[in-house]
Amino acid sequence: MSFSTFVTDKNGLQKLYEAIISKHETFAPVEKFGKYDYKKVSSLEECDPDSPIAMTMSVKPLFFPRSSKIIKYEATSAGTTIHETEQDQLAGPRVILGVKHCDARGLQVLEAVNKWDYIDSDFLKRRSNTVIFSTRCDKADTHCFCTSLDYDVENLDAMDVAIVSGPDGKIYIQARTEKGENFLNQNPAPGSQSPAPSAGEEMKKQYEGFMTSFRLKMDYKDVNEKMAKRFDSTAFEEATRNCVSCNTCAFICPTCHCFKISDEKIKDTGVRYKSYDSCNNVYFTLEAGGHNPRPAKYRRWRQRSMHKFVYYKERFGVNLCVGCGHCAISCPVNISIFEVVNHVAAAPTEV
Amino acid sequence: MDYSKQIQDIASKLFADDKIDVFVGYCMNGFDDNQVPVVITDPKEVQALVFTEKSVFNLSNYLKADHTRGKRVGLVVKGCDSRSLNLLLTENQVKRDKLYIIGIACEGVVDDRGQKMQNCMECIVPDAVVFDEMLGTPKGKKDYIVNADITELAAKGLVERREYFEEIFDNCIRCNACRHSCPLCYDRL
Repeated sequence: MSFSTFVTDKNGLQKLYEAIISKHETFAPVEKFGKYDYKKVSSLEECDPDSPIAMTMSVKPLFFPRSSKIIKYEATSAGTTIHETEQDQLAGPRVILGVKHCDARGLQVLEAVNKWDYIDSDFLKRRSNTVIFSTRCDKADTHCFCTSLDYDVENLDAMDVAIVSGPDGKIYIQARTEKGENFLNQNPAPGSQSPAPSAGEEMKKQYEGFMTSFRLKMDYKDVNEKMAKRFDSTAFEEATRNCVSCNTCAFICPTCHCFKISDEKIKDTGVRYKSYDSCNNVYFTLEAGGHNPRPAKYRRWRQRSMHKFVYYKERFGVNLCVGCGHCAISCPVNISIFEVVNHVAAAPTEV
Repeated sequence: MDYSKQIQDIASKLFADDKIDVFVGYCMNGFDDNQVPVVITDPKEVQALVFTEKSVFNLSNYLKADHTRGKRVGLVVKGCDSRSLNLLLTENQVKRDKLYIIGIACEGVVDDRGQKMQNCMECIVPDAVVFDEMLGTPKGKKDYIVNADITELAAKGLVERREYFEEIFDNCIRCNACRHSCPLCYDRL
């Protein structure tokens, strides 16, 4: 199925954004202390859909919140009663503006695990009720390598509507999914016309320009293959020696999905929470009996990087990394998953 | 402030004399002019060591890691780092006789944009307080200046102060990275 493309300019796009914000529940990057996070907005002035990639948090918490209540319960000597939690605030129909391509792809990658073995209906419901507007970056940042990983620019359907800048201030608005197509039909961009035949060409040119701005490039198929053979490599230890195990990489990662369950109980009533965890955390695999199958830091790093580049790829056909580079930006000691996996892939196979 | 050469010489001598098992220092990150901490166990790698005003991270944090626990460690500390190291020593987290400490008479470090750090502007102890060897000329202790922001915050009422902190912590994602990157939050990892 082919989808429509509209052409407009900066003003037209702003008007479209304004129309969306006035009609729908809208989330967009909002600046605070120099960092951007996705928040509910009521006017275009308070947000910035073109926020810089390095300063923007992942969109993951809008689908998989940092902490959420699973159940409420009452446990007395008479027995235990389970109560429903409050209504899910993130499940309603909504629009997210200014999602980066890497972030949008992260959600697509996460969907695979959420509808596998156990069906996470909350995640899927939030996702199916959300229309994602994604702006393609014009320039890569220091740690970006998104186009190196399963990135198919022609058939990218991670976002519902893609926005691409063309030459002479032109802006292309392109529906990428049926949901996006319907949404654009109901909310037409003011002043937009059917594009000239050169639209495809110009978008391609923008992508080529974007491609040349990458400092980091990776042949992921080669990395997948080589990493699978290097489980016992000492390279994991060498590459991650200066990691301080702070876990911030997992919290800001668009694809990490480890979580923990904890109970908060006061007298007879309690709440059961699901909140983020990280496989880099020393307590993550600590068993009740005291045994820890991953006691050393490099083993936890091995699990993290092998899961991202080998196991997930084998099971779902995509890498569990979208190359956004946020982990390297937030890392207090500047470790990049890019460097770790490349170091391992380049290591000799003999131990 | 460039002590790269001196630190390389000291580190290779320490390895040659079999005085340390591990050396913790800084090296270039490999793609721009910023630095990352490095944990060296192979004497051949000491050539990578550097120390300039871009050497920001507090290395005493590495004394709680697997690589250094129970080993003889050489490390570089600035004035501020040495105070946290001193606290670790006082609280019996590390043994002094297992450490070889290179103290720096620090002139202040800069952030990744080259701006001098705010903390360094208000630094009162620029010289290392605990060391085996000192690099640079000690400048002595300065008078304590109360940070202007703190004075302003202290003047606020309880409700306002609460609002201030709620505003600040609105950005918190509860990853607890602050805890793990803090040398004094040393609950065993």
